[in-house]
Amino acid sequence: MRLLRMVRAEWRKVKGRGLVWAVLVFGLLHGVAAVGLLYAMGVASEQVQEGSSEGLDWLLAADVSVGLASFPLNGLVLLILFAILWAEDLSIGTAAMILVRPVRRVEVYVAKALLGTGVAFGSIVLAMVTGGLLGMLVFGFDGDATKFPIQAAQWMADVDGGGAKLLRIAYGTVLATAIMLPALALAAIIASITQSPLLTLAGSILGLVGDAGITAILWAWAQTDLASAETAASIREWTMWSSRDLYSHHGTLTTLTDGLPDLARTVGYSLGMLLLGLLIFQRRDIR
Amino acid sequence: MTDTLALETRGLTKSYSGKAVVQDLDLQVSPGCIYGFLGPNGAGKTTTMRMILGLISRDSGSVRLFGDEDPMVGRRHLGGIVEGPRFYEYLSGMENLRILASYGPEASEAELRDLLSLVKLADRADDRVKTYSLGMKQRLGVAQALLSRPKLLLLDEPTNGLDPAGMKEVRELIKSMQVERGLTVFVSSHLLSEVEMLCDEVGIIQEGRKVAEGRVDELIKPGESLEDCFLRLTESGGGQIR
Repeated sequence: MRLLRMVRAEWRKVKGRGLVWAVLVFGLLHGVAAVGLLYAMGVASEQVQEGSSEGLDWLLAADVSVGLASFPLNGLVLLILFAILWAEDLSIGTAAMILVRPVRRVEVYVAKALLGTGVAFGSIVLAMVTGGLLGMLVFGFDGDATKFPIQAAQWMADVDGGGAKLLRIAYGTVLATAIMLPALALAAIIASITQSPLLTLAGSILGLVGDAGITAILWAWAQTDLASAETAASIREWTMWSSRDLYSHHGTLTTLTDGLPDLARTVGYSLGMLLLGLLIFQRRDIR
Repeated sequence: MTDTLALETRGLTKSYSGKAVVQDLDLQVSPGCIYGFLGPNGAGKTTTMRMILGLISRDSGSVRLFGDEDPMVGRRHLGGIVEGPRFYEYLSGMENLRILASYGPEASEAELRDLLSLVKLADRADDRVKTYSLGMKQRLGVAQALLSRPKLLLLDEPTNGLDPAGMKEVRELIKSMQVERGLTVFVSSHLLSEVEMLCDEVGIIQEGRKVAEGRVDELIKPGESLEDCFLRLTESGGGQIR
């Protein structure tokens, strides 16, 4: 109950900053971009429009495309939100007002982490619903999502029964939210060190892009004939970016559980980084 | 005697990069008094207050609040502002109070309104803090510090930057909290005339060390002002009453 009140307090701050509107607008834009991406990939072909389908299929397709269009739009807004969420109290001095109250630092930290996760989840759901509804309008209510030229979308739509489809939607939403967690955790560490929202944002972007860059270099290395290519390939498996490549499982694997190792690694990395951020936050002098 | 003190520090020590900022500091604050914490700029007043409030770690020493050394128990009786109050300036005064009230024992809307009335901000409750004057912000800060229904209030330079009218308002507010709510108030200041008008007890530190502590009327010699007394004690290196 007490923790929920703290989460609500974090929400009030985010709301006061106008970030809720930003998340809503960019969540909607995210859904629009997802449909635009499908459209650009030739999904509006007659082939797709011929079949018969259920409304849920479009939601499934939108879920997949949200994953494809994840970071450029909504991701950036979420990164800004995470930076402000973690660093603002430290930078403007309100942390000193909060921490003289009878609360433990860990409670304040957990409240921020819960709100960040909740907002990421909400923005993904919003993007998905927007993408699903817009998908139906653009491609027609009778379209067949199994005919999408995207393997992942085919997999999502290739189940019978509303229950199974809802399960896949829920799973996809969890995956998309999990993708955001390393960014949330990285921001927590940088904010605890720098106490600056701007440096937290810049550091988070650098960290994520750097990790993706290393992953790309390792991938290229693994394609060579060098003796170390195999080592590069196995190291690549353990980069943060590789473990965040959860969506590939949508199209290639037959059961939901096959994606769990990657999901576990992403969540594991995130929890590890959150723990490190907490240790720094616990020890830091509040000025 | 010890367990009846509102605040007691023993051997409080803090260094930054090998330089001692506060050294072996013992303070004793009687319950129900207004305690002036005096010292020149850089003497270590704010660092001491931060250690008491648990905002920074201490190298050694202990802090007891109403006889209890557990910081979580102590903080239930404690409210404080260090280096001026801080706010979410883009939110109203009321919303700032709501947010801060979420971190700790629950406070009703009526209680929050009462606090704003106490600091004479009821009519500006729903205005954004960025539209407040410095004096209003100080008063809102006091309301924030009172949220925990504290028995001990720590205020760091509460009249800093205020005009004479604002200083008088804050002084009267502090005095009324002592008289009407029975609060112990620990006030740091470098304005000696303020402290002389307001405080029952004072502690003086210089270069992180205590040079004097005691009741104002015991420290000041006949015909002497607090300023004379302060200069005499800091120049001579001290005269501890306690």
